[in-house]
Formats: sequence, C-alpha cells, structure tokens
Amino acid sequence: MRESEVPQDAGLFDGMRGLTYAVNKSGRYIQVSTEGWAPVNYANELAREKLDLNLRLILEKIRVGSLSPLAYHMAKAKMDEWLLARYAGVSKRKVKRHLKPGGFARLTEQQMKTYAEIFGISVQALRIPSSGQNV
Amino acid sequence: MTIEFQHHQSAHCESGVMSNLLRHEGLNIDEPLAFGIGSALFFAHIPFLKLDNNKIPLTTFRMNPGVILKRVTKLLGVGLTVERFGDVTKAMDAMDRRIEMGFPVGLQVGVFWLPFFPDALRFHFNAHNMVVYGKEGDEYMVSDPTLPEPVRCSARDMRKARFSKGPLAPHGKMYYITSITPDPPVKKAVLTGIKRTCFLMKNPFPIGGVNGIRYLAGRIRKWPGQMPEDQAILYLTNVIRMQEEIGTGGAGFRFLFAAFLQRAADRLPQREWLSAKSSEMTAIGDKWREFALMAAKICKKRNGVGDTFGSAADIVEECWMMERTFFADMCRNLKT
Repeated sequence: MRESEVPQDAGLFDGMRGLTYAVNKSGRYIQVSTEGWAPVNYANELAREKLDLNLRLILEKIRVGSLSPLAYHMAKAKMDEWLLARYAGVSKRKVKRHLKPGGFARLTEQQMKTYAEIFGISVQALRIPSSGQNV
Repeated sequence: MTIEFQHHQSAHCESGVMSNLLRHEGLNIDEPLAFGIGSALFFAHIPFLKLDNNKIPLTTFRMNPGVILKRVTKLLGVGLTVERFGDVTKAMDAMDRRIEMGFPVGLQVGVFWLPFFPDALRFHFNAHNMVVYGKEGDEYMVSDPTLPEPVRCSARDMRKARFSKGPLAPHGKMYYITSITPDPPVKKAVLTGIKRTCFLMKNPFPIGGVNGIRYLAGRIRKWPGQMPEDQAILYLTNVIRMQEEIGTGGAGFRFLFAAFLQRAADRLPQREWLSAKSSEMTAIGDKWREFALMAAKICKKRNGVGDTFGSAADIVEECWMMERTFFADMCRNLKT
C-alpha cells in the first residue's frame, strides 16, 4: 500500500486514529495515521447491529416475562453466561438460573451486589433493564 | 510520581509496548523491528476455537500474545521480570511500588474495561498491552501504544482491566525491564527472527501457517451452504475485522512485516534480496486488502451470496499461493 492510498474513512471509533504502515514515494515504509477503512467500518457496523438486535430481542423477552433484567445487563456488557459466571465466581448453571425472573427474584442482597459491581451500576439499576450504565 | 516516558504510537499493542520500553532504556528498537525479531507474523484459522461472543471461529494473523515480549527480550539479552498475581490489592501495590522505584511497568489488560477506548473497540479481548508510567492521586498515567497520546485511567478501571476474566485472562500480569546488554546482537536477532517466522509459516499442520490460508479459503467456500446467510456474512466480515482492525497496521500484519524486512535489509549483508522480499510482502498485503474490499462488497449485496463467496475464497487462495512461494523461497535462501 502506498502512502497516498491509505484510506481515511471515519467509522465507529469516535475519531480515534490508528496507525498503518505504507510505502512512501522513495519506497521506504513509514507510519501513516488513519481514521479507518470502509470495509472494516462496514464489518464493525454489522457486528454492532447484531448486538443491538440481540439486545432488542432480550428486552422483548424481559417484557413478556421469560427473562430477568440480568439478561439485559449481561448482553449490554457483551458477555455470555460463561463469561458472566467467571466474573461472578459462580457456576454457569447458577447464572442461567438468575437469568430467569424466578431465579432473579430469589437473589440475595450479596449476590445482587456482586452482579451490580461487575456492571458498574447500583443494585437499584440492576433491577431495571435499559438503564444507563457506566462500565 | 511520574516517570519521564516517551510515548510513541504504534500499530500493534505488544510490539509497541516492547519497542517503547526498550527505547526508554536507550535501545533504538522501533515497532517493525520488535515485531520481526519477535517473529510474530503467523496465520491460523481455528474453527473449533470460538472466543468471540457471537460464537465466530477464530482467525488470526499473528502468533499468540506474549510471544513478542518473550522472544525479543531473549534474543537481545534484555532482562524482563514478569509477575502475575492472585490478589488484586497485592497486584496494585506491587505496580505502585515499581513505579515509585522509577520503572515504567508493562501490563496485560482486558480491553473491555478501559474507558479511553471507543465503545466499538471494547470487546472482551484480554491480551491487550500498555505501559503505566506514573500515578497522580487515584489516576494512573497510561501510555497505550495504539493511541496517539498518553491517557489517564482511574485505579478502579485499572483493577478491573488487570483482572479481567475469560480466555487469556491476564491475572494482573505486569512486567518491567531490569537489565540490558549495552551492545545487543541486533543483526543476529533479526536473522533469527526471520528464520523462525519461516519455520512457523512453513509448518506442516493444515490449519496454521501458510496451509491455514488455503484452509480458510476452503471454509469460506463452504460457509453459505452450511449456515443461514446472515451468519455466513457475519463469519466473513469477522475475517475482515481480524485482518484490518486497529492493531494490525494493515493487511493482517503483512505491511508491518514488510517494514521489518526493509529494516533487516539495512542491517544484513543480503541487502538487495531482502529489499525485494519486502516489496513482495507488500504485494501480498495488497492482495489481502483486495480480499477485504471484495468480501465487504459481497456482504453488502446480500442476494445470492452462495456463489459470490467463491470469488472471495479465490482471492484468499491467491494469497495462499503468494505466501507459499514467498516463504519457500525465503527458507531456501536462508539455509545456506
């Protein structure tokens, strides 16, 4: 890739600039700063859409009562049951139980705190799906 | 306490941290040199490893994390102390102490917990590297080599990032240079790096090295028949992400390696031949970029991806042939 061909397509990275290596006029490799490249931006958008779609499906399931608010926070943090189990220090089976409204209702104060801490939110916020979170 | 530390932006995190730490000690090793001496160039497509949370098979263009630190320090005779911890408080105290003593400390961290990254880059990848070179109150001064400028990070986020969980969990891993040799054998290290890269790429296993590229081409061909269209598209675009996302320097580290070969040409007797090899690697990189462009186009169109996946696979196969010739020639020339 030549220096003049380095793409500058802004994407999802909030203006963060990365580095690529490209060949300058005299044939030497130099570092060139770039804002992104359209194919990658497209790939990232697809991945983002997939996460958003997933999130919407989960919110719908919470509304009809087949999942607990924990499912929302888990998906929002881009985790699956296995990873959340690792963070919470419990078994995957337990996490799955807590993802159901019945299991969620039986959570102790301490368990609630553990989950809230992982997501960087308050225990109150953990009960509400789609609250603003700050992790 | 803040250490005087020169921040240089780099394409890849691990080679960038290595280079920045070495330059802090006065060894002029830039990023391509660190990458090449660490023989980090690789390829593998591993369908049974699904680290992504969308359950997409792993495609990688480099060796496993940690290999650059290990190889570079070994070959250049640099003393690197690596520590891991079971306890968060102990890990943070040990880091604070090192900084007090004037050591810039390298860390392995989970990207997801770093607040200074844009949301789109914050996924659960646990083998990111950065340098901490100071502490002010409750905030750490961080030199993250993939960012243009140094940033700050709160102790709370730092604790989370250092003890992220999941695959490749860092367990608070921190490292710092304790000794250097005044006149390191750079030439020898460069040659060893090239040789090892050849050895790795030419390995006989079907899914890693040069063979892995052909394997990926075959898999891409099969994807549309094996799964719903949406998923096949997600799989293909994931290859693009692994190849081009911030951290590879373009074309899945191929340009970074070409830059390394150019630096090798300046130092080794086979000057012209290595320059020619560098240009050849640039052409291979351009071919990979062509694949990414084509793949994105195919996925955007959406209708009848069945046969169009084949044309993306064709380009990957071309990459395979080019890299096979490249490394076969390289091995032949370096044996003597």
